[in-house]
Amino acid sequence: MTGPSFDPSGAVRFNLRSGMASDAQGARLVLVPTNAFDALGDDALATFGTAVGRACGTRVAARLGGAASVRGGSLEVVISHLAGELALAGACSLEIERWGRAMLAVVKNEAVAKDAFSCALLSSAIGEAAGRAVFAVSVGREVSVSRFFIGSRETTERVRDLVAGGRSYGDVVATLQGSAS
Amino acid sequence: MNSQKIAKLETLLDRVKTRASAPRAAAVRAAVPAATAVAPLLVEDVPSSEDVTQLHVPMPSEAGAEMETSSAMEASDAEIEEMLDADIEVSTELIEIDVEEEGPATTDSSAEIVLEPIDEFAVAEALSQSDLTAESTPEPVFANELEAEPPVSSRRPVSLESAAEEEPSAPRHTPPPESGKQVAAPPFAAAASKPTAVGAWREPGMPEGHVPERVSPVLPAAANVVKLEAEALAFKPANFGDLLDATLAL
Repeated sequence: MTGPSFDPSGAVRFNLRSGMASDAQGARLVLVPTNAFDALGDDALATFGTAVGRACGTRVAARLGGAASVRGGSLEVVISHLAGELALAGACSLEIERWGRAMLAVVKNEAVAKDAFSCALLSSAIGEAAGRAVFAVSVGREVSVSRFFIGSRETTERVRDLVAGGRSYGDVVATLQGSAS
Repeated sequence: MNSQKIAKLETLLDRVKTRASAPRAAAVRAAVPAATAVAPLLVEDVPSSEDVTQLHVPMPSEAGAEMETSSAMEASDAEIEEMLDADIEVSTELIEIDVEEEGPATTDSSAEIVLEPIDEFAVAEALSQSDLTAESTPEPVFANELEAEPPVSSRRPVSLESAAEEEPSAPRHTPPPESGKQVAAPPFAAAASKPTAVGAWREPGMPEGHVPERVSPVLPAAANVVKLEAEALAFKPANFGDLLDATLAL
């Protein structure tokens, strides 16, 4: 893997005397129990997810030297930093599957197993790190594994319709590849 | 037994003596040797009562043989009369019947009647011996008797002389297999396994001796039969930005 590896050292700081928690850049953090999200609706969950994801993306870009460096960075480096930041937030574990030209985010151990929260979290983290407007939509959820397609607004809308029609994520990806060729 | 019966028996004994001394060549069977003189008494019924009459009949001294006959009979008048009327066959054959004698042996020429219990087993044994003697004696063929031919399936008499004159022939039965290790067949020779035309299928109408010639194609063991005009389009993003642009372009 070429490029800086993910180093979590000093990523979260706790000032017990003042009762404060912050990240490496000094932004305040708060530890929230996951059951606090149970009473929230999709909009609130999307708001929380967008906030957490954007913070993770910002830190990845800061570590890698900006959005341009993130786009120019290898897949392994960028994915490692993104997965590291989401793990520090306690949100989930992240892997990337490449199906031809399509990119799928494979998420495990979600703290908040809600599509609204996860889609906002992933799209905000990747978009903030790469400096692009990115959208995410769920294509399948198994026991502890969820897959999200990462793409444009229009494409994610099509994928949402395909999944609602009962198509599996394999068929969805194949359909996207066929329409793109 | 009273004295009257004894008198009758003595009379019977006298008649026996008279008949024995008379010449009777016609009554003697041919198979019996004439050197010995035996006068067996025909005993038709074996008495079952306990009263037994044992009769000792000494033979004449000129015959050079002694005859000892014991007979058991019931001491009834009817049977004695029957014995008197019956034919007594006298021959020179000596038949010894083992009957245990109890009491003093009589050597006197006169008959002595001794009352003693009968030994049924001894009598039965004596009868069986007399039967065996009769079976071993060949049956005489009389002139007025037609001898029937034996059936075809009957045994053919084979004399010892003819059997000795026969040449030794092959064993009539297959001899049993020899025991021990079996000798293995010789290994199949590879040179002999070349295909021959003997017994092979022949085209109908073709003359015998013509063998078809086989022509096999000559093909290369391997060849590049596929020529690639262009490489398949494979998306290989060089960095994270390329993959992001590609998925956003879908």
